[in-house]
Amino acid sequence: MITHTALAGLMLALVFLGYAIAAILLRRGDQRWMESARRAVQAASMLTSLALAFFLYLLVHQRVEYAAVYRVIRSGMSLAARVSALWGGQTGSLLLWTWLLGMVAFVAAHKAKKSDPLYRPWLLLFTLLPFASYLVLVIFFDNPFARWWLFSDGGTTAAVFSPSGAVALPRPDDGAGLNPLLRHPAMVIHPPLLYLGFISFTLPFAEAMAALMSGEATRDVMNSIRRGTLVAWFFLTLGLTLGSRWAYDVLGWGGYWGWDPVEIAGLLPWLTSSAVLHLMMRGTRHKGRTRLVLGGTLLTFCLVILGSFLTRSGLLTSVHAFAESTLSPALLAIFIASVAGSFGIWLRGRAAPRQSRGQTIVSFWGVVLDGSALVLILLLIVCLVGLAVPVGSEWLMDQAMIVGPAYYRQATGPLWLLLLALVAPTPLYPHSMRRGSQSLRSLVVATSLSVLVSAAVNGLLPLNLLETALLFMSVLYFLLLTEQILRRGKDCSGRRSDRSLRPHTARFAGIVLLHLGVFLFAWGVLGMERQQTIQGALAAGGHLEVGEYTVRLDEVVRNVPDEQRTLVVATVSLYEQAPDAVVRLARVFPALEQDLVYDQVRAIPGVYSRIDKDLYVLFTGWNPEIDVPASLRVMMNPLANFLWIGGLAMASGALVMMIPDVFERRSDQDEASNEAGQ
Amino acid sequence: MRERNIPWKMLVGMTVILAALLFLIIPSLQSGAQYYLMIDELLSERERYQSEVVRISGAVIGESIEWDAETDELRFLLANVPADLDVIEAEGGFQASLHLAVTDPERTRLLVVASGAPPELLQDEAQAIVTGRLGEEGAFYADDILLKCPSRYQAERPEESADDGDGWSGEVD
Repeated sequence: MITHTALAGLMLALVFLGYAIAAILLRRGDQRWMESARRAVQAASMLTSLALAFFLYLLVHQRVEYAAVYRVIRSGMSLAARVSALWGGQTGSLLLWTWLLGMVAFVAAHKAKKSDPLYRPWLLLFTLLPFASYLVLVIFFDNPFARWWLFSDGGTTAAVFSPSGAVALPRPDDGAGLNPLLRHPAMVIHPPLLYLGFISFTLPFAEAMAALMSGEATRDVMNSIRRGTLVAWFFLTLGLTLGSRWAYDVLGWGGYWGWDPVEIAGLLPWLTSSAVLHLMMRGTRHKGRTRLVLGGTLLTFCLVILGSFLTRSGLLTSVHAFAESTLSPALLAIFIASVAGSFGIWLRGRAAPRQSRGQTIVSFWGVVLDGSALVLILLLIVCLVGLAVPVGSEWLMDQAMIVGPAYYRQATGPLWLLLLALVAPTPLYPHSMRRGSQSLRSLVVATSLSVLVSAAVNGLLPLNLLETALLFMSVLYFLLLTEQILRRGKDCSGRRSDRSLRPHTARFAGIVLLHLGVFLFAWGVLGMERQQTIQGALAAGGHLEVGEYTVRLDEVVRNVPDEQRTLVVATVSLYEQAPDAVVRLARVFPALEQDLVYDQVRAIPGVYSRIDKDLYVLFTGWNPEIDVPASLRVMMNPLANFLWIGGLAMASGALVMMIPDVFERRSDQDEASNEAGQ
Repeated sequence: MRERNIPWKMLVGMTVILAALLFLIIPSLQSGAQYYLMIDELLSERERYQSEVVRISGAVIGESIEWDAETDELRFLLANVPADLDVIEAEGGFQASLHLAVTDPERTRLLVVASGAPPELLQDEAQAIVTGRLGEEGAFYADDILLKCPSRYQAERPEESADDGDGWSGEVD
């Protein structure tokens, strides 16, 4: 019953979308048809929500006779685990992805109500095309409501309707269950946040496409693209941060980013959307700039689709990859269509803003902002080259090649550094940098002071070149920020008509917080470069030393919390060797969890976390029959917490930046009325 | 007429940027790119790959896994898996191909030496993707092991087809 209702809902949604596409293509001039298309899109999103709700019902009620439920559910899972199983498997995550696209289409349909009649049909069309494409995949390629069927020759298959000559397989006793690696609190929110980030880029994409198709790249449209991009950027940043936290906790290697192809696929839209946001800071009145921003927005969306293809294509070996799936040709087709469609429309589209006034002047902030965008795009190219090597080498040389983290580290390192140098003057942004201005003087003074400070610190602490450079830039940022706060927004030099960027606005505070996050994150990265690892086999009472810390194994206890797993828990004491005494810092309990159903052993780290460093203890092996039964790996990770704090600060900065949009609109109106009055 | 002028500034700028990009990418590719080989390919051109870090792929032979806690040395055998996708298809798909590689005593086998406890996914018939160097005496010294287990949950499910996506893998140093 549920299956039939949900399936009928999905089919009906597809019919509605087909109807809306036809209406837009054939009758877009007629407002009644457009109103009808708009409602059809909203109905389709609602029907997809219904299907999602039904699928969640099946998961929660452990209906393992459905193949997609069987693969991720098993008895004994908590309610939260059963819900998060939605994105633990391929089928459910595809449904979630499609549903989110439906939600974007719903929002677009709502926005379309108030938008220009020339622009409206295209906005609808370019949100509902991605929605409809993925809906086709859900219905025809990877249906969440498929069940098991048994053929007379003993073979089984998963299908929605009974294949001829097959009978329904009796309900299995229990499902296979979610992979133990995915049972982590961060896993409950990391994938949905990433998906939300990726999918949110669809709205700015559709707006950009509509602007190109209709020639209506008005200020409202560009502002809406900026807001949409910022929202998506916020979710993506948060999702990436949580993902690296998951890797740190669960993969048991004490790292946070492995330059894994799927991680890179998530980074690509982050790079382009950051570039777009920087380009937009200089306004979009200039025609060439408008086109550049629109192009960047389209590129971001195409990279999102590329990511969804790469994850499932089996082309890349990755920690995250779903195995090669039947979906990959269809996903490749969607990717090619997005690229061809976007690029074609971008080349031919008219996007002249209504008033094409103003021209690009070479200025300090011009160099900083456009320079940042350029560096972000160079980073994108470096990453794309890295992703292309395995495929390209096979083609060109008939010899498979792969690039490892070494390539990315070496090629992106100087670019990240350059980017940080461009970030450093951010706190002065509301001010003009004309020759002789106070701001330029502040910059010169702050730079000199920063050189002195970092030279002095370099004398006291054994810093390497990179750390010294980062220290210099951080001190510069800090000094400029302090000066900015003390000045309280005086000397704005009357530079900006854009009031939302005066120094006291929330938007500017958001920008400053976000870039502070960038510096914190950079410190985390450099801190982790100084990671120290030691490994050894121990008996109870034995110890290992890492840096000025001693790690002592107190005892090992084996227990059986339930039928499905056994836990071997080590009690480990951590001591710090202070000059005059040895201080016990903490006890941690790294464990080996053996999952009896999966026959898989997982090391759960014990982490002692302080703001300046983490001591990360892994229990890597246990053999009670030998003299030194336990083997431990201990990592000292300096500044690890800066990574997550930095990531969260970046995301929060974006959040704060969104607050003043209300005021901004008001100030735009003020400005308009002032202009009218003059 | 002004529009027809060649935008020299733009061209020079683009050239400089392109040069900088190549300057970053090419040396990094030289040091960061690795050959991705099957065991037979590696051993057939031993001299060529001896001095290089390469990435190899093979099927793990479960009973060969040994770990010495005191020296912290991990050793296991990898069996050659065909490089050609058509051959793999002919053998009945990837999972069947891995099974065949492990059970067929005629297949080339390579000893892999690594450090650390056996990673959780290191088990019979898993596909291992190992980065490291071929030593002079014929063992392969691994720096990094990535494991994929396409067959992991197959036995427990009521169907045989391998079209779903649970091939998760773990990564270890």
